[in-house]
Amino acid sequence: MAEQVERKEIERLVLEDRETEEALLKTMNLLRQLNRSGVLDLLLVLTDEEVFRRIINLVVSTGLMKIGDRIDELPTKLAQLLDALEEPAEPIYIYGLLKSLQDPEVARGLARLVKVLKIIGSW
Amino acid sequence: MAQKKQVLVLGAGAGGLIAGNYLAANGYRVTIVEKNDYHLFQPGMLWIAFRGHDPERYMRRVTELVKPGVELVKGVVTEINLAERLVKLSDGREFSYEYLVVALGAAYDYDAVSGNRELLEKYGDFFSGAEHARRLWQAFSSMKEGTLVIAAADPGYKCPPAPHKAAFLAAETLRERGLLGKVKVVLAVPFVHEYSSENIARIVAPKLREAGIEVKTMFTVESIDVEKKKLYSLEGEELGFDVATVIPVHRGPLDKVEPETAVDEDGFFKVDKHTLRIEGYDDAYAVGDCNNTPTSKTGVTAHLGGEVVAERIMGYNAVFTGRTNCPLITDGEALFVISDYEHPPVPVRFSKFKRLLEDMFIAMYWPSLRDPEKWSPLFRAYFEATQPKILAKLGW
Amino acid sequence: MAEKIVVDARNMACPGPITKLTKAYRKAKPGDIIEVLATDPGFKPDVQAWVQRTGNELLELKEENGVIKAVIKVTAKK
Repeated sequence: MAEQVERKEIERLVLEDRETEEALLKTMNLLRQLNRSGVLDLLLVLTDEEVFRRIINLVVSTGLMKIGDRIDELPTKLAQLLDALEEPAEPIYIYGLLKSLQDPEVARGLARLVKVLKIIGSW
Repeated sequence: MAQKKQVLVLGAGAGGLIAGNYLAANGYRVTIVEKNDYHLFQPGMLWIAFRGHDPERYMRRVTELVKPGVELVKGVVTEINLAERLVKLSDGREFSYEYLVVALGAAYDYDAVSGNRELLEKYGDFFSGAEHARRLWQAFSSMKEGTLVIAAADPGYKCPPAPHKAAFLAAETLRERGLLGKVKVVLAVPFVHEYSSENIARIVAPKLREAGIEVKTMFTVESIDVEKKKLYSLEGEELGFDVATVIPVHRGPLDKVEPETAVDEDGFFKVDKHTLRIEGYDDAYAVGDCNNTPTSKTGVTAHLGGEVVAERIMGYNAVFTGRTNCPLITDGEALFVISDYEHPPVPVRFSKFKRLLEDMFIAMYWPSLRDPEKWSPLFRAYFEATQPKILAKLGW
Repeated sequence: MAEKIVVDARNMACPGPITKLTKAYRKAKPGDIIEVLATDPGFKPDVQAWVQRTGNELLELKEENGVIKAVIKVTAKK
């Protein structure tokens, strides 16, 4: 549960509490480095009302919501694809291709690829 | 330069605070009348009642939630006279206004269902306040066996997924204590399906089954026999219990409104569903649970309503769409019931991502009450990206 | 004396038309007629299921120009 810090407490914490002192020192170091590297200036630019609004509108989109919703399953599927794509593969030619279509999973994959072609064709 | 108008806001719930603070941020002179010292985050009652959480987690002083320039008046509103532009408080004080925003919420009519008051006294509930939720926790957490029944007396209760969330949380607690086999959780809903929308019911039903929750559909509590431990439904059935909690019938917040035609037969303010203006008046609005808009009574509709009203007072053509975004939370996952006036709920799935979004919305709750103008762009982008018009075709 | 109650549940967001039907049913007396208008397509099968479970009589159920009209006679109340 988040602790509410009362205003009278602030003075005491800053002057007497070691944990607060440590946190403040680290924050000051962080701010100095952010300033030195120019990141702080960039962050300030991002806080401009107009800029911030445009970033949000760009980022928070239906597409992002749809992808975000699958963020836990996408890596698994992607990993499967990458593993399969990187496995050593002997070239197969037309005959080999037609033969592999006898595997129902491969045939199903082909049907899915056709659906993908349709979507790409519509772009 | 003409001075900006004076706005009187009744109620410091989500709708009232957002409308009031938004207007104050834009230079309007705002007065908010509130009877309580604390603002309660209402969904918190679920966690108090079924997970034993400390009520303090869900309460903040109203003084901390209003902007510095806002005048906060502690008082109980007893009467509104729209023609005279007068609001009367219980202690005799009277306030006039240039603009009025009624955000008094819904009241509970415990006498509409016989036995409701007695049941509330005995077992508590997760609607009437933190103390009642605590009492329900005491009754529920001391169960070692028997049946817990969660039911409703009125299909128009606020927060449609509330009883479902209650059932899931209760099941979670029982599972942790190894009591799932001993204590049965029965969820009685006044709807034809497990959820009012069939799209959603189809997705929720398997989760309810998985959690071991029994669902009774088309059960609207009509009377309660606390001694015999039985609930009787409008639809002609009965349900026995060991511990039961019934969501009470909802009513409008005030007994005295002039003219009487400003409220419907249940006491809710009759408003234009797109502008939220109280019918017949161009200087008075009703936001949130106290109005009669044909959409769910929820936190989101109150939030969006508060913004619409503030913007309309400011002269913008803001439109209330009836958009809902009700979170249905299970263990680690959530879905949102997304609908508006033109679209029934869109097909959605449970996901961890939506659960994360919901946790973020909850974390944004307190800051967005006091500084709605700061958070508005983010919320707006989210609601735009997840419009029912778009998701109806794509799903989410 | 039997009353006719008209419930306009058109263009309603969630929770939908059955909510208004149940509310009207609570106040209705035996013999009353409840007429419900709705645009939510889910209402058609729902009202049939409701009438069957509650034991009331469905006098009329039709759809015209996207509006569903259900006329129910209150027969199951005592």
